[in-house]
Amino acid sequence: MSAWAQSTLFAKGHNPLHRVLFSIGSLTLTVKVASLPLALMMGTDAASLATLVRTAAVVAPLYFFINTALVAGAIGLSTRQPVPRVWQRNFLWSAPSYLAGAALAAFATAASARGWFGGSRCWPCRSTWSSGVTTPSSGVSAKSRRRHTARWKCSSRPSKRLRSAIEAKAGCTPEHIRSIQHYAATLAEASGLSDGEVQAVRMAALLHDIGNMAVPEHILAKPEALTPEEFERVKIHTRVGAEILRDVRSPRR
Amino acid sequence: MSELVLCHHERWTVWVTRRASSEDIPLGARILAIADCYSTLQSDRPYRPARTVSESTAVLREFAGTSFDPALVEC
Repeated sequence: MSAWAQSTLFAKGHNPLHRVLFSIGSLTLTVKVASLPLALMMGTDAASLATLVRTAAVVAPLYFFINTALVAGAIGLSTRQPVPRVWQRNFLWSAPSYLAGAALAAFATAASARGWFGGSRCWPCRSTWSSGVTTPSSGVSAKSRRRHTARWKCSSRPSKRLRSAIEAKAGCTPEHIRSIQHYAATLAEASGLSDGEVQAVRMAALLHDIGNMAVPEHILAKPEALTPEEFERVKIHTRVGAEILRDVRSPRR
Repeated sequence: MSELVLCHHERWTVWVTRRASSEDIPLGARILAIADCYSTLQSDRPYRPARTVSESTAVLREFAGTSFDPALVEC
């Protein structure tokens, strides 16, 4: 997609189809080959800074070489010029930009893994939550309990940021979100849920309309009655919200 | 939590009609439905002013057993 965009959008003149296909193919090949040592050197765990620097030092030159050699080869062959000369003249100077890009990617990876962006590492928690817990007056099947049983963690840091984001998008006030959380927690306590479960309901109350991200703002902010089409659009917010939060929930089987 | 968010607009009667037991709506989602409605009723909307506490409670009672879990409304 990136290669297609580079070759077509805002391109000077019209690029013929074979050039666009070559760009897509060469970029795909470059990414595939460069990712081989990446997977080997990084492993699956959050990498240390030293590992990231080592990996970037190997992958960036490799990516640069494959990427530019393929394009220089194509130019050299089509214009009947020696490929090394084309490469040296047109591409060698761009090497520092690839290294700078790799350094930026390493920094972003390190920052993300350490939760500097307020990411999911702040989320892990102590509580176990069973949303299938029933009201005192009624029973619930073991199957239903298993299906609704989930475990996750919560802390106040992401919730403050999320509250601001949700308020900004949904156009609702901080008081409204706080009061939903308050009423939900009060009901959860009155239903006999444990402290951890009450915390979980409080977090779900904060996030219950997070799926509104997928609903256009002109619909969310519309003061008049919604058309049937707009209403259908609003209705997707529950499914979108559930999808966004899918990885937060880790069911206990 | 994902399931609570998914089900927070599921309504008691719709679920009872569709499923054998309304208990299949997670308790957390039944709680969220009531908390969301109660809080919304008490805030100003472009089409109506905020309701008072007693008016909001009356609305919840009116829809207990149709939209909301009646046992939770009486909590």
